[in-house]
Amino acid sequence: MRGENLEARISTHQTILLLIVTVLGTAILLLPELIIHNARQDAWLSVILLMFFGLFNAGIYYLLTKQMGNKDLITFTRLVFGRVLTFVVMTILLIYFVFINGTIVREVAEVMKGIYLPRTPLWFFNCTIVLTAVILVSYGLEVIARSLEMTFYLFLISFLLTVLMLSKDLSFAALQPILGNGLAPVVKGLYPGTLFFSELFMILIFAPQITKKNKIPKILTGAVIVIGVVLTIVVCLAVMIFGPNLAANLTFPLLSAHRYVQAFGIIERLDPLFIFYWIGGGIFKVTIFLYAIVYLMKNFFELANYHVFIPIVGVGIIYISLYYFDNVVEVALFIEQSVPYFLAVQLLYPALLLLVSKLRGINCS
Amino acid sequence: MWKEVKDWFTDILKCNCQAKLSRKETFTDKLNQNQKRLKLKFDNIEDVKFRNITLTDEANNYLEAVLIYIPSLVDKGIINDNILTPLLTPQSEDKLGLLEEEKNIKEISNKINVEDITEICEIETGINDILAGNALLLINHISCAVSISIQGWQERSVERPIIERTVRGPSEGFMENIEVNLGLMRRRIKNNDFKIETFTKGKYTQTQIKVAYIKGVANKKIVKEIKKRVQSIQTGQIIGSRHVLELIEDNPLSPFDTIYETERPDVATAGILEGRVSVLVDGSPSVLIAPMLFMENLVSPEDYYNNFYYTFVARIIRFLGFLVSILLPALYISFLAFHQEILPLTLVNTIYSAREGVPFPIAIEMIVFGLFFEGIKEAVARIPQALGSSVTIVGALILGDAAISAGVLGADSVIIGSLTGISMFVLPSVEFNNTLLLLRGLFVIGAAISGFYGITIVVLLVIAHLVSLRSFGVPYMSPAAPLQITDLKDFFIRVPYLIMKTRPQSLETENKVRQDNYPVKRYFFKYELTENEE
Repeated sequence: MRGENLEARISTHQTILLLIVTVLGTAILLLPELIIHNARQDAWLSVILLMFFGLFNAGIYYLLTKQMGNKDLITFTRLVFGRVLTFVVMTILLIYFVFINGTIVREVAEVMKGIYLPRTPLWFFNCTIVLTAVILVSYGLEVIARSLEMTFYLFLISFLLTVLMLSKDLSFAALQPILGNGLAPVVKGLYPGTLFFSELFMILIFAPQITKKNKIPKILTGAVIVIGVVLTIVVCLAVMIFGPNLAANLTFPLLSAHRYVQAFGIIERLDPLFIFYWIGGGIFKVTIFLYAIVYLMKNFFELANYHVFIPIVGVGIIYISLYYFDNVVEVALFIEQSVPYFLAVQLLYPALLLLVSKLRGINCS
Repeated sequence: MWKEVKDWFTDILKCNCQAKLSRKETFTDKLNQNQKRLKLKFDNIEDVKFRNITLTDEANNYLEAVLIYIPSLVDKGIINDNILTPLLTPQSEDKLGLLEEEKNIKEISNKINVEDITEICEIETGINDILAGNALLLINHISCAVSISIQGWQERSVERPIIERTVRGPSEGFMENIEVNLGLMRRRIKNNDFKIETFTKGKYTQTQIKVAYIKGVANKKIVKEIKKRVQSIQTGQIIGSRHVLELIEDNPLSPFDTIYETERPDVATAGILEGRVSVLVDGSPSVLIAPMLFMENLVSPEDYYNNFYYTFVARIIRFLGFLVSILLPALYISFLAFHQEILPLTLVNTIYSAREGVPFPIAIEMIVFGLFFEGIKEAVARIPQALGSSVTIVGALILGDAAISAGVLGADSVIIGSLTGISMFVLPSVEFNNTLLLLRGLFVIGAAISGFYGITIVVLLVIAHLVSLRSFGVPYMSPAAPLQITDLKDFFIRVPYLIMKTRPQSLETENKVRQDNYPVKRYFFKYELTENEE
């Protein structure tokens, strides 16, 4: 809208928050269940291993951003792979982004519909979520970053308040025995987490717009550490309250923990806080992914602004989120089955790009 | 041949030039002609007075003159004592030399004992001066007029500010006269870097607009932008400072004001000293300050006159009042209609048993009560003061009580509605209060549709809107987003003046240092008091 001709600039602090919310937006609710299911009481070890995986990813992305310099992802791909292959890559990226965004919208909506507002139709949630994201994206990246700056700490406070309220019910005995079943379940618990941690590849989209490019390693490590710590807290919370066996059978351990809270003798459950950061985080995640795809398309077609693409992609996302899945089980199955495909885009594509650009000696910085 | 054509061309051009020049009419040296032209201009205007006078000296030489003014705009005492008396009294050593054909206008104007006298030659300027409250003296044989500034109309004196009242601090308020307002500010900033530039806007109102700032402190680009926007105003009339505010604002469609309006000179000068620019509008008792940040809606001038610990508490209370006044009805609706599970069972029981028999949904009840409250507010503000108490008694006490006992409104809805209404008055800014009405409505609608989910969506949209606003290039939510840690010193807390060393970073001032106090030894022992100084 305003200032569309100016290149957006985001600060280091804002980029860290954007990356955190990209990963944690949905991971905070979905990932603990997936990890605890396999790793049981050693889930926190899985999370720590995942952090190392995240750092490894971050290394690749950092090297790639160094190669990219001021070029954005799709222009750089065109330089490295040539025009024809870039067209293929762009198509794959479009499909990837529409599908992953549709899945996120559906997840957020299903939790709301399934648990809080069962009589509200699903399309209402899907449409309002996508509409909010569309409005945020049309304001531009700077506004997205600044709104996140305003709301992120509210999300964090809501989360930490719950943790604080629960702290009297935690039992450390539930975390023992450590590595009781060997390392195998811990590694098995890693697998779904790789999907979320490689979502850090959003840094490749933000990179040309960061004011201080030499801070990118700091941004990536900061984001990985915050994500890891929050996930560790969530996983430990679930295991220490419900015990490993019960926690493994809960669909949403964090949500159950919220409903377990009793505070100040007047509040029986802290669900509103959960709704606040779940919906808020979810919408920001959808916003960031929507921004990423329209930004890439803008650069692919070499246009001045991306507002043309927002309604097109938005309708696609609503369509996928409403009609591609029949119910929650299918969503969960889809996520589980599509991990390798998502990883191919999030990890393999940047790695290949880095490798080929190194081999061909293309360096834009 | 060629030369003749060239001459002919230059003649034509000269003619054109002269025609253009003659469009700006000037006074001629014949009094009758001047007077006739002015009378034609002031056709059908009865309150312009033409006073014919004859200047004489001892030798009975005389000179015709005419004094033109609008009696309701000028001070008649000055006309009598300082203009007519010295001009009409013949003096013994008269050096007017009235016999000479060439009259020196300076010698005549030297006799007038008024401080502000200017010599003008254009008729248009003369007319504007008369309409602005000057007197115009036309003298026979002189092709210029003397414009004498003798404005003196009825106006109120400097009074206490009505809206922004404080317990401590100065209690002067701006008034309708722009010169007095400027004087109030000048008295607080005694520096020659304090610059003022005047614009006259409005074809009919000829309103003066003054832009004031401190050169070397305020950002050059912001000053330039404000002057550009004021200069670009094209209007027939300027009604008040609000009119100017909306004409030069960044976001005229936003419900939030991005220019601060104050009626206190101390607030205006504090803003200027922080590196802001202020815009004064003649005829309006409030002054505009730009750029403005969102947090200033929650700041009262009192914060700077109180102890800083108390300021912290007061600002927190104001912030809570702000949150309560926009969110409480929405939260109440979402808790009772959508998320009953978070309240204890006994509380839910009490509320619902009290609500038994109430026919409306909670959301409708809250909207009706909100409108009712706004109605009372509006009524009390408009009706004569003597009737105010009867409206409050009938409206608030009898109606409210009867509505509950008749079972139309739930007692708890009345409590929530009243709490919201009271917390509104915690906020110092009236304009901001009116903005909150809209926000409250949005939140109530969001909550009525889908409980906490709707509230969250509205929160995100409102924050996105707030964050997208800019006031003359400065982000509206500035110290919070984008985060500027040094500016948090005057955000929720006001740190002691001793360590408030820099001006706000977000205003991008040219001189960043506000003060540079050397650490002084702040205590000394008792013997230092008793010992004699050597």
